[in-house]
Amino acid sequence: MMPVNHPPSERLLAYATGAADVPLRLLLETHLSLCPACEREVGRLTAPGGTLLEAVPEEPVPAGLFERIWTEASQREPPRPVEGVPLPPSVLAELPPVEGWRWHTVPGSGSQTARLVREAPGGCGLFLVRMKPGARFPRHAHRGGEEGMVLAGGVWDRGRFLEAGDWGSAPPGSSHELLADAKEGCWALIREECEDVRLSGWRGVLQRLV
Amino acid sequence: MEEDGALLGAIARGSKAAFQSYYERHAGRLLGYVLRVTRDRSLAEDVVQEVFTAIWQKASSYHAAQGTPLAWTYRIARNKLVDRWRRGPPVAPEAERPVLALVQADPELSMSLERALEGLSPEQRQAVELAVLGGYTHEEAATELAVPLGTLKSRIRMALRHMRALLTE
Repeated sequence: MMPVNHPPSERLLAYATGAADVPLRLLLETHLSLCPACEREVGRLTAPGGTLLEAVPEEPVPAGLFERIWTEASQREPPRPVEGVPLPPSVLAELPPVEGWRWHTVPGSGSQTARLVREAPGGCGLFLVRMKPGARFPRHAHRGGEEGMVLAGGVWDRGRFLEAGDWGSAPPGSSHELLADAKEGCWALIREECEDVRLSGWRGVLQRLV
Repeated sequence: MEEDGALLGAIARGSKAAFQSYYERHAGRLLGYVLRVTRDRSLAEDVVQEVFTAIWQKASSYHAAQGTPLAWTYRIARNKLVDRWRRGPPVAPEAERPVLALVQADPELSMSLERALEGLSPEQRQAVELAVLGGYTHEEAATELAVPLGTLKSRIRMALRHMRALLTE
């Protein structure tokens, strides 16, 4: 099924021009792996770069550079899918090994989160969220903006049902709660600015104490 | 171009021969581009190494819909350069930084920037792409476009004036 909700054009342009930070880039690459329409748009935006590269005069390449590259590259296996993790192999290749991910449980919600990438302390981060069927991710507020997409299953967010590939966002200062699909649950990939998500109610008290 | 696509397909299946062919076809051009941006040969070679290592790892994610293989390669190179720039001391030359900063500072502005570029004449756009986005010096861009230096500077001046007007509308 094709995604219905897409990233804004300026995000695709940031990706095409290299202006996207690492969490945003990985999030967009994941969306592109599921969305032919955005893939075509990125192709259109990147075309001038290809033309530019074609026009650049060649520099003499030092002897031995290919061997150096091959020594480095051959130590890295082409990326493979990881069973049970709905991320594309090319994105998995840029993340720490799956075994090292630290999952944190959101108390009493049937949801867990793992931080995959952190730009800098207080900067933005990339998170994987998994929710059991019917799980409710409790109401929470964002100091910075949130962007994300559903990887598998589905989720209700502010009256909209988002499925695999669908893009969603929450502006700074907003708050919302999420309800996972009753049969399939939900996996989502989320980029958080400021890494500052505040849970409401007793969970918030617990979060501040921790 | 079709050959490049076939090579990427073979690289995705783990062919060292295809990887070497792709390298031989594009390493010189890629080094030329990265060197223009970094102005540092040793750093440029490191970036080229990172780019080809990424090509080896990510070839399976290339689809023709994302543009030509060379455009895809350019995007990887841009990302590696920007990663370096974010991690450590700036590597982008003065000519490139303002544009990058502009795009990063305001995502909405980046769309206006794209529209402003589209509004330029082909000659003005070529001059801006080489001397502002491409990391060429004015002298190099003038040689590349086979125009006198004064003509190039005038095209850039006119282009920037036109873009400024559009961006501040």
